[in-house]
Amino acid sequence: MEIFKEIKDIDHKLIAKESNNIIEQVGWNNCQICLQYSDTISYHDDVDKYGSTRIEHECVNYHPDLEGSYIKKVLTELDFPVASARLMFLHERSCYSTHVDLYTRYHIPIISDPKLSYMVFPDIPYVARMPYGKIYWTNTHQLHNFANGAHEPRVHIIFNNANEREYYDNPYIKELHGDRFTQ
Amino acid sequence: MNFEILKNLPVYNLDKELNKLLESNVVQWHTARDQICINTTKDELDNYNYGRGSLWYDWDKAYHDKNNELVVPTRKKPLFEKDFSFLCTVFVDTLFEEVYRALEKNYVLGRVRIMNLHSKNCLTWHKDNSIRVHYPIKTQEGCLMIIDNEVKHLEKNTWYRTNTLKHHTVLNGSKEDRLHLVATVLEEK
Repeated sequence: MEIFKEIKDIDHKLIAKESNNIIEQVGWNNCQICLQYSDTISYHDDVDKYGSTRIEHECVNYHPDLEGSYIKKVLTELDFPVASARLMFLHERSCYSTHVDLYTRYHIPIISDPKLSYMVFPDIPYVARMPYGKIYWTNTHQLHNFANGAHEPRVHIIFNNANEREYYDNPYIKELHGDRFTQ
Repeated sequence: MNFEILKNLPVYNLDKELNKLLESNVVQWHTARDQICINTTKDELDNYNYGRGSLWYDWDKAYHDKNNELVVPTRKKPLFEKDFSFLCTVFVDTLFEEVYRALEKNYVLGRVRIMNLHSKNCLTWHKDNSIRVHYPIKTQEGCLMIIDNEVKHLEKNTWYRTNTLKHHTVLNGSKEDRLHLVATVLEEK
């Protein structure tokens, strides 16, 4: 079973410069800035509302500000359509809940020290580190977390493959929701 | 070996014992609710906060300078692990004393601390100067320790020898506090 792989080389300096400009211009909301939207043009409207009707694979429209940007070039030149691309902020010395996702995720490290910040998959077990200058795919159907053990925040661009659909056939999802999603 | 289960130390329900001490206000968390040090130095016998945090840096006085760089001042008087060789008075005649005496039989100890890691928090990726013995007092699924590239959930009421001479961290990916008793081992007897 694949857990983690490098997808493509990219220009880190350029993508970081553009990302930092967006962050400066827009500001964080719930630790996220959406680069794609479903219905309404906004950097924030599609921010994760856990338990709401937001459907990630429908967030496929790029924010108009990204027109002509390197970020959009990188994302549109992949061999699959991208959905739900977001800049995601993780505070220093913090992590997420250890969880599974309904989609697998792609990561582009923007501000991140791979020695100090890394993804962990306890069931495998596996530690994935992401140096600058690449796009990474992570099998987030597996139980995982991201730990930022640095003294500075971590920022990644995280996105999905728009062709993927929500995946519920997962023991952790079943434990949480019973057969609600599999009947 | 990064993680080794130890069978030679007593297994008690320290969660219950700690709650009893906290509820009766015999012991209180520091405002950061991060650590309680059950042993201390000869001049601070009643002070279970004396061994909190770094022995060299005073994190309670950390600040960001005008360039937004983090500045952590050093302690006026650095402390040394080996000086923490007295059980704090509040823990005398508790289960913590029994555990402490059992640890003393097996190890030359430095600080022995109750470490609280809050939900969705992790420690820095760091190395220690000594190995550590861990005893999870309260833990949940999603609480992990990572040494080198090895990831492990440490089970409640189980003793582990952990090789913290290597780079490591711990994270709490659960929704509740995670409490471990952590003993600094200066020498194995």
